[in-house]
Amino acid sequence: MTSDEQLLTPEFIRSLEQLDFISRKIFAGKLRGERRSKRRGQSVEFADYREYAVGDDLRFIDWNLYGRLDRLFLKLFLEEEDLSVHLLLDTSASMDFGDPSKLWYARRIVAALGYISLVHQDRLTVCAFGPELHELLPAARGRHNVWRLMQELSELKPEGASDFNDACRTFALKHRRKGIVIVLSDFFAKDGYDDGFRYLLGGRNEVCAIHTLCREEIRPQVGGDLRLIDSEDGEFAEVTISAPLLKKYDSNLRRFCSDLKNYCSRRGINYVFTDNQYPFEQLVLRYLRERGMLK
Amino acid sequence: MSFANVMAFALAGIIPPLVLLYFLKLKREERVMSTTMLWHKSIEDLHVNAPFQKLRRNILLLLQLLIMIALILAIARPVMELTGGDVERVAILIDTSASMSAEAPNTRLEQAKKKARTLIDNLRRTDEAMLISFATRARVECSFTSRKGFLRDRLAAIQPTEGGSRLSEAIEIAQAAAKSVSGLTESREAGAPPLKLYCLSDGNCHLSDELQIDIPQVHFLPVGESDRNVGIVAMDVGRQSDGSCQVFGIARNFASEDMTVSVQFLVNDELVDIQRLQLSAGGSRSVIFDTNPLDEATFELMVSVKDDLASDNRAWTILRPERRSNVLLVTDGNHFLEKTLLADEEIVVNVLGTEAYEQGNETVLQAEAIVFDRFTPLELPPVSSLFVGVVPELPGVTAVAEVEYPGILDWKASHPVLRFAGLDTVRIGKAWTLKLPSHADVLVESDNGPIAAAISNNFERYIVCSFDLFDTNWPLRISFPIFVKNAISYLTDARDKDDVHISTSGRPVILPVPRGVEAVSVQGPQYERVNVAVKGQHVTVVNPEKVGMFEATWEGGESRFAVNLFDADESDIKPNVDLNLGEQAVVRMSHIGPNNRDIWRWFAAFAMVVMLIEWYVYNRRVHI
Repeated sequence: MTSDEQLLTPEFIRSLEQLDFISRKIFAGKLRGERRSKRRGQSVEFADYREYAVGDDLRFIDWNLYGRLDRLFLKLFLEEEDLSVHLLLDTSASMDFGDPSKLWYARRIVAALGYISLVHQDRLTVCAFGPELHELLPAARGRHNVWRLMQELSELKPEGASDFNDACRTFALKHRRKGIVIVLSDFFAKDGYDDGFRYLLGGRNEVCAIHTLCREEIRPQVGGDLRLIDSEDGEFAEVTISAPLLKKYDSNLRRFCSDLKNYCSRRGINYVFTDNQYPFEQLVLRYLRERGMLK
Repeated sequence: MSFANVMAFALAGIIPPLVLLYFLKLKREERVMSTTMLWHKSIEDLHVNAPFQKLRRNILLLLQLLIMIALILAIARPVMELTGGDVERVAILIDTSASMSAEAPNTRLEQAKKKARTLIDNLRRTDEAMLISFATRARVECSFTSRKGFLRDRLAAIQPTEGGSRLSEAIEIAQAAAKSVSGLTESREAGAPPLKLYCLSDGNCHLSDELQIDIPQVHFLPVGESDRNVGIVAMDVGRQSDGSCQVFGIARNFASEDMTVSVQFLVNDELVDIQRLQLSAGGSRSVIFDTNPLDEATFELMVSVKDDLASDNRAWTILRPERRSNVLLVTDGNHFLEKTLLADEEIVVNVLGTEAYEQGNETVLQAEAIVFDRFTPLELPPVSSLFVGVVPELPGVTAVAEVEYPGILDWKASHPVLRFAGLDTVRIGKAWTLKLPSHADVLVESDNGPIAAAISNNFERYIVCSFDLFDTNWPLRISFPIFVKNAISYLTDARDKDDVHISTSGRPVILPVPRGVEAVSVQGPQYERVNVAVKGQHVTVVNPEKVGMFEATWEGGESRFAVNLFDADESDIKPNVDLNLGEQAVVRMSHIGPNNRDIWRWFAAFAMVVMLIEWYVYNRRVHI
C-alpha cells in the first residue's frame, strides 16, 4: 500500500458524515460546540431548576414559578460545548508490517475518526508516537482542517522503536483538557503498556484502544531454521519452526491480546481489536458503532 | 546371525560426522519480524543449541541415526543361519564342458551356477569352500575361503568351454586341496573338517579308472533336461589322384526322436552342396561330398537343425598344399635303403656319406628326417631319425648285448611304424638287445629282449633297429618297404605335414613351423590371441577349448587349423540323473533350497519405514 493511494474515498467520506463520537462522559469545552455539555449554560434547552442564591443572574429567574410558589427559582439550561478528541497513532517500525501495513490501516482509521471529529466541530488533536511524541494536528476544529489532517497522515513514515509509556506521559502532561483519547497501536511494547494507560486515564479521559495487528503476525507463514530479528531494537531470536512452536506462538498471541483486553475492561477503556485484513469500511461503519465509539 | 559383507561396517564412520553436524550451529536464514517479543516467549530454541540438550531432544537426529544404522546393517548383508553343526569344507565342482552350453539361453552352465550360488549362500560364516571348474582340464577358480563375496565373483566369472568333461582331475584337485595346509586352516588342521563335495553337471562326465576317491560326502546336483541334439561326430578329407577331394562326414542324432536335417557343405565359406538326411533316434548317417581339384581349401560341414547344442553343428577341415618331405640318408652304401626310399614319391631323398655328414652339409639343415645306416653321429641332430644297424646314444637307450640269431617273438603291429608290416618271415643273424627308457615303444621283441624300438625325445622321434639289414632277410620281404614308408611318415610327423588337418577341442594341437621361427601368435573364435613358444619346428597350442577356425601367425608366415568337437559323449546331451563314481556313494540332490536366509531386506525395509517417519516428522514439524 503506497502513500499515493487515497486514505478515504469520497463515497466513504459521505458515509462518515452521518457518524459522530459517543462520549460516555460529557466534557467541558472552551468553546460552544454542537454537543450538550454536562455544565449548565445558556442554550435554549431546559435542564433543571434550582433555588436562587445571592449573586445569581436575575435574568434566569422563573417569574411564573415565583408567582405560584412565592419562592425564587432559577431556570437552568444545558450548555452546548465542543468535544476534545485525541488520536494517538503508533508509527514505530513494527507498524510497517503486513500487507497492507498496519500503519496504513491505522492511518485510515485515524483519517476517518479525524474527519468525523472535524465535521462535528470537535477539538481534534492527532499525535504520532515512535521513539518520541509528535503532534501532527494540534487542537484543530472545523472541516477546513481535513485537508491538513490528510496531508499530515500521508507523510508519516514508520521508524524506530516505540515507547508507549513515555509517549502517553508526554501527551498527558501536554494535554490536560479532558477528552476522548483513541490510541492506535499494536501494543508490542516490551516495557508494557500499563504506565501509559494510567497516564491517559489519570487525566480522566475517555480512552479507547484500537489494537491493530496484521495477518502475518496472527498466522506467521514461516518455516525452517530462522534467525528472527526484531524490527525495532534489532534483538534476535533463533528458532527452528515447528508445529509446537507455532502452536505456542499462537497461544501466546491470544494470551497477549486477551490480557490487553482484560486490562482495558478493568479500567474502563474501550478495547477494539482489528487486523489488516478486516474490511476498513466495515470496521468504521459497523464495528466501531457496535463497540459504542461512534453513533 | 552372520554378515556376508563385514566391510560394510566401515561405513559406521559416517555416524560421527553426522552427529558432529548436529553439534554445529545452524546457518539460519535471517527474517525481520515486527517483534520478537512473542517468539521469545514461545521458544526455548536458544537453549536447544546446547549440544547435549539438542542431541537429547532432536528426534530427527535419532531417526537419521536409526536409518543409517539400519542401512549399514543391510549393506553388511546379515544372514540368518538356519542350520547348525560343525564347520564344513566344501568343494564345488562345476562342469563347463561343451554339453553344459546346451539349452540356451538358460544354459545348463547357468543353471549350475545358480545352484552353486545357492550353495555359497548357504555357507555359514565359519565354513570354507573352493570352486573348481572342469572340462578337458580342471581349473581352480577359487581355493578354500570363507569369503562368500569372492566366491560369488569367481563363480560369475566362470565361462563355458567346448571341450570334453574330465571329472577325475577336478576330484583329485579337490581332495588334494582339502588335505593341504593352508593359512586359514592351519590352526585346526589336526581336526580338519571333512570335505563335502558338490558336483554340478549334466552327468556326461569322463572318469578315470585310476581315480581314488576318499570323500565322505559327495553330492550330485544334476542340471539339464533336453536330449535334442544332432551333431557332426566325424569328418575327413581324402585327396584323389586327380587333385579332387572327397569330404566325408558323419552326422548323428542323439535325440530320442527321429529328425530330418540338412547338411551343408561349404568350401572356403561358400555353399557348395546340401544333403538332406533322415536320422532315426540315436542313429547316424554319413555324408560324402566331392570337390573339384583343389590345392588348398577350408571345408566346412554344417548341420542345419534347431537343436539344443550348437558347438557340434559345424565341423571344419583344412586342406593344405601337398608338400614332399626332405629325407636324408646317411650311409656309406646301402642298396636296399636307397632303393626303398627313392621309390617313395612323396619324399625327396638326399644321400650323404658318413664322412660328408661329419664335415657338415646344408642338406642336414633342410632334412625333416634322417636315416642313419650303421652310423651314429657324435652329436645327435635335432631332427627325427631312423637308426639302422647301430644303437645311438639316446637318453636311456643302451645296447645290452650282441646276440646271434635272435628269434622274433613279437612285434607291435598296432604301432604306426609296423602297421601292415608282418615280421613273421624275417630272420635276423645278429642284433643288439636294447635297454630302453620306460616311455619307449618296443617295436620288435626277440627272445633275448627288444631289438627295435621307437623313442620320443622332446619333439623329436627316433626309431632304433639294432640289427644290420645285411644280416637279415628283411629287405627281401614285402614288409620292409612298408616299414620304411611307415617309419618316414612317423618321423616326419606325416599327419601334421599332411595335406589335411583336423583337431579336436580340448586336446593339444601341434603345428609345424619353419625352422628359425621364434614366436608364434595364435588366435581363434572366442579365444584371445596368445603367444606360443616354439620348440624345435613345432608349436603346441595347449588344449584349445573352443571349436572353430584358428590362425597361427609368425614373422613371414601363417597357418590355419581347425578345432572341432567330435566328442560323442559331449554331443550326447541327454542328462544323466545319477553320477557313477564306482564304489563312492553319491547323494543326488535334485533341488537345493536356501539354508541361510538373507535378511538384509528386512533392515532395508526398516530403514525405509524410519525414513518415512523422519519425512513425516520433518514436514509436520513435530519437534525442534
